[in-house]
Amino acid sequence: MTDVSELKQQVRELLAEHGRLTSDVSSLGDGDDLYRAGLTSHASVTVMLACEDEFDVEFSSDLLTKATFGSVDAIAAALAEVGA
Amino acid sequence: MSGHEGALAVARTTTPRPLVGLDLQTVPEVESAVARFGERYLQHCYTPGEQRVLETSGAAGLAARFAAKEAVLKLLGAGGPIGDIDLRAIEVVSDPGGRPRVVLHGAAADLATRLGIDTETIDLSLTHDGGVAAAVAVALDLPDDRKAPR
Repeated sequence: MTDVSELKQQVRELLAEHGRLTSDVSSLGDGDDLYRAGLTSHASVTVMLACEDEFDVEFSSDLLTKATFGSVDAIAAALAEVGA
Repeated sequence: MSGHEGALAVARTTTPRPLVGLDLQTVPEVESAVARFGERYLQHCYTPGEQRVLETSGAAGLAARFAAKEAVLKLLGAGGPIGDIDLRAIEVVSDPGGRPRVVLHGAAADLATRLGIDTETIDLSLTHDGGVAAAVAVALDLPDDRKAPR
């Protein structure tokens, strides 16, 4: 299982590549609202798929919620839950 | 209550109210997602019938349908990234004349019923041009005496 800080850094890299945020991801705190930072519905889908590819995991349906992709912390927590 | 006040109260509870949802989706984003994630992206967002649009209308057609799903979610008050409703529970189909309409399944249908939205009246209009797709959804909020008990 990936170290949490390393997990968050990888999540940030995936957000930078797929999130299409209006704010630079490096300017966001781990708990900052990604939707306020410009994460759209479609981008949240591609971020989810990118996370699954990067970590070779699959999000269960109960984790496919707005809350799961709301922050770097939340995404990292969900990834840890599914074994990243 | 006066006669006028009474008439207004009756109108508020018996007159259907229009509800609306609107969304935009860029086509290049959908193209990129199809290229990068393929079937996993398609199966996450679109029903088998909707996926066939990729063959006939390309990524622009898919983008319009994604926008339509989001527009309906906003109409239902559940809009937002991913949301808690499966995107495939909001299905865009075409009537015999080619006009798009929406069919709600599962949680989306349940939510519409709880909210008192007459799903038979949900109307859709889709468009795409210049790399952007848009959709608007309109429905009627049932009068109080026709809403399902909560």
